[in-house]
Amino acid sequence: MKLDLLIEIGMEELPSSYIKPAAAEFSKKLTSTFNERSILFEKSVVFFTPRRITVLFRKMEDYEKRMPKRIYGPPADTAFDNNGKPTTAAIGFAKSYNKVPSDLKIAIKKDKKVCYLEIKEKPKQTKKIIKEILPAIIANLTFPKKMRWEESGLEFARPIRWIVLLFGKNVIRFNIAGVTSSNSSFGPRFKGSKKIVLSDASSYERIMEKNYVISSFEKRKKMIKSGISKLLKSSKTVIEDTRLFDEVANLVEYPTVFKGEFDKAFLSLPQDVLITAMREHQRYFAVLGKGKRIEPIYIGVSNSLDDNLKEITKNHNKVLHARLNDAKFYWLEDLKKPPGERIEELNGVEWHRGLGTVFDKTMRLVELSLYLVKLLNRGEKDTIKRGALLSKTDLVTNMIKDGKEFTTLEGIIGREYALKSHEKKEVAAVISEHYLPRFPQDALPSRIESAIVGVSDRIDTLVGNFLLGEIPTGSIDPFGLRRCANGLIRIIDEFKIRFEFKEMVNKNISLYTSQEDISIKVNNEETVNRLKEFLSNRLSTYLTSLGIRYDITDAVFFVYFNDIYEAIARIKALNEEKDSKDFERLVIGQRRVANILRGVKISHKEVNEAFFDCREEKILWKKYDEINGKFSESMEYNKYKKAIKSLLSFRPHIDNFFDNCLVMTEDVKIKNNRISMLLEIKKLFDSFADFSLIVLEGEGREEGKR
Amino acid sequence: MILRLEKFWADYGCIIMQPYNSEVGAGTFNPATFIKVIEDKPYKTAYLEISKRPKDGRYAENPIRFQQFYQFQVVLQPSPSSVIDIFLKSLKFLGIKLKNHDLRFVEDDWESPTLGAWGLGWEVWIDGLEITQFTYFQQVGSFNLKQIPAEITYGLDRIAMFIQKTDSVFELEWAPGILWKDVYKESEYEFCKYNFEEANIDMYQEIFEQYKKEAERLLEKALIYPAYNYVIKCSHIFNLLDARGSISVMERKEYIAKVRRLSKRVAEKKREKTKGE
Repeated sequence: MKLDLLIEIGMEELPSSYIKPAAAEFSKKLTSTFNERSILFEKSVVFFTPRRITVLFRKMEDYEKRMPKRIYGPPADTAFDNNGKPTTAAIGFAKSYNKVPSDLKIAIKKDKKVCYLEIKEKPKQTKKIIKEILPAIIANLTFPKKMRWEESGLEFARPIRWIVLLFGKNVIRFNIAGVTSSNSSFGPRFKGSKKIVLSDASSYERIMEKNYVISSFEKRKKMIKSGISKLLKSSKTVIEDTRLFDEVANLVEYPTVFKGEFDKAFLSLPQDVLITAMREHQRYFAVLGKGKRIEPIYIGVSNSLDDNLKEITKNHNKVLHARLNDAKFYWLEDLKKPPGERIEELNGVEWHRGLGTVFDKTMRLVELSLYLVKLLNRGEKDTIKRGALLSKTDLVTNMIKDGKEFTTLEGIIGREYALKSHEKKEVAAVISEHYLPRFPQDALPSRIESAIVGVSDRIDTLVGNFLLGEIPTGSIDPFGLRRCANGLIRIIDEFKIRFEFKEMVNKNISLYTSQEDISIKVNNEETVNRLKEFLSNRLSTYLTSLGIRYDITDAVFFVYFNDIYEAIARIKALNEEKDSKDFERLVIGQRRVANILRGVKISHKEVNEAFFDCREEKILWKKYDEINGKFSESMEYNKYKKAIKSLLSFRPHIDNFFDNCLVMTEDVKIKNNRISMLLEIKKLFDSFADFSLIVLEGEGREEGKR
Repeated sequence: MILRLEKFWADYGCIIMQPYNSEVGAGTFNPATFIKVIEDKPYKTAYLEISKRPKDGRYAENPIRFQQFYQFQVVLQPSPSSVIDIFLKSLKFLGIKLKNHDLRFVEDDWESPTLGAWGLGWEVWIDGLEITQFTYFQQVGSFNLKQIPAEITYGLDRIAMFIQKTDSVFELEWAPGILWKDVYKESEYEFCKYNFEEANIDMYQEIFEQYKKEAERLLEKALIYPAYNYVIKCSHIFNLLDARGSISVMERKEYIAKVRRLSKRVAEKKREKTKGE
């Protein structure tokens, strides 16, 4: 018989970010257990609100499906004698399962014939299995934080207060954390959490909705969306914020959308402050009007019906008014002291244990940025210097320091304060943009000045942590160094920022060691090497995300790393040529060269043209001279595609050489001369990438080759 | 309102206690909560607490932020399974019609570093206004509790504003014909002025150290309540110095660590004593 199975865990309000993942995990674990136990069902549907996580399995079999179980016994040659008659071993085996020797069957197991019996077991009732498995599945659901609340000591995100467990029309009873399952659910709090008796599993969604619980997340979101479009004129939109949207939909069981307003006077606060004040604490959507300018209205979502919406809105307005008042208080207090006067104060803020204060970091940042400006000869020096100097000053403003809802404005509020104290707008941009990108899809800085300070900041963070040996391993990366490195790589790539990696790190280390309150043991070479390894892994990941194969990446890293931008540029150029017709032959040719050279031990000698005696080797050597010249010129001007093109033009000459001239000839002089020539050619190729590491079409890439 | 809540919770079986006679930052600091819950025994109490939060002062200019709050504190140890329903009933008892409002329980992981305490729970919002903190204590004085208490902290000023439908605390009717501003505005402003601008930093730094020493000395003698009294004082002095802006971020951590060490030792002593009984 097929029945619908309904499981609802009723709780006190779960944190909104916990709900969706927990529901998904619950459904996944149940499904996989049912699959393991061969309990068939048609499909499963997941529902959740702050107070319930529900899974409904449609048309589930009331018995598990059991395949006959095989029980293996003695090997066939022990079980039967030469005449095919069962031995005592066979009789004994059969008897122990209430069978006779004629029931024995033979299977091949590990190349041997073995006897087995098929035992049919009575299938278990689905309801019994559910009772068995459910407590452990519930108890083992994962949450970011768990709590205890009653005697059994069960840990869950918030207290479990009821469980509905219905199979068809019948209740399956079990106990967990002082709760016994039943057919009673409860309604929303604004309706007094009234008891809702569910007579059967299948009508769950409908009955709950009738009792003002919208159990479907998607439906709640739809209601909110249509509510918003009803309230706003077409010239106005709520700010786009999917995270907030999901959060709000998971803060209510029955969403009712309302439009609130605030005093126009607050529009004098920076737009980002207004948006943050609405979003971070009150979970309101800011509304943008013409020209993306913020309007003195907002959209909220109430966990109630719309009976008393006017009063509810009025009350919400009052709360926002107080919040904005608070923001204004911070803003006005902070304006009393311009960023330029806050630099000393950074001495009181520890940046990182063992690595001094934010003041120390700022000083290094200024030096590193200036070093880069000089090197690159790009960007406006004074802007960079001032920007770096002020970049962290917002950490000691009230807006950020208090650690409340405005901390997400780090950098942004620094920009606003800088503008208010008449810093140049380019300097202000550096303050907010040097943090960009904060995450993979985030925007990049808009100008080179910000990029330079951003690169310096990230290098300084990486170098400092590596000096302390705080290197990310596996999933452990408490200081977000991977994210830091990813940002660094993106900026370097997009802004074409070139520097000698080793020298930059050494410069940074010397800045650390010259600071009085920092005493760390330093091993420059080790730090450089470990950072190189770490960054080349990050680079590989970055390039893979751009669709570049790791063998191409590796071919370049193997011979070259020192200027990260150049490494990326070489890899990109190589990648573009990988499908050209000469490429494959060239790689094969380079492998031949590498193979021949692997066996030989001769000291390097000048190539002597007098020893040439094969036409193709003369041509090859002539071409080498030409190509070498072109290649070096291209490299000097950073024209990597052109450089590869010249290497590719080697292809026919190398092929001809191998086809017509024998390297391992008997005449030692001629042989050694040819080897010297090949060494020169390999050196030329290796100065770009190790082509022999590239995997060709159809060769398959071995995992773990790296 | 206070009388009503006292009546409601007394009827429920709570011991009605009184505010502590030294400045505290929250009702949790009152030994009637902090020390009692460490006993890890069935216990119910309710009391008014006047909480001082120097840093929250806004010179009597912000309608809902001030340096002194009226809190009503309830502790139910262990928490009954219907605890939220009982709490909501108490709101009705105060005259709030819940079905007409936007009621929400918004996650709030409560932590008091200075008390070595944490718990999980919510801010209870009514029409976007936080009116109560609701917490299931998990750990107090760095000790894992077995009988998990529910702590309900009502923000009385805000609930009163809500009931009286005033836009700001200043307009609250405190007694017939007398408003909050008549009673408190002057002192609120003066205390803000004091907390942010006038508090004598040198003096407070010195007495912080003296009080800390006194607490340590008393702890040696297992005089738990008197020792704890000085821990509370240290905590308040720290809050004052913090508001006064005389503590750097790094020093801040040190101060918190100092107070936490003390409160942890109070909790340990109390545990030892409870076990011995």
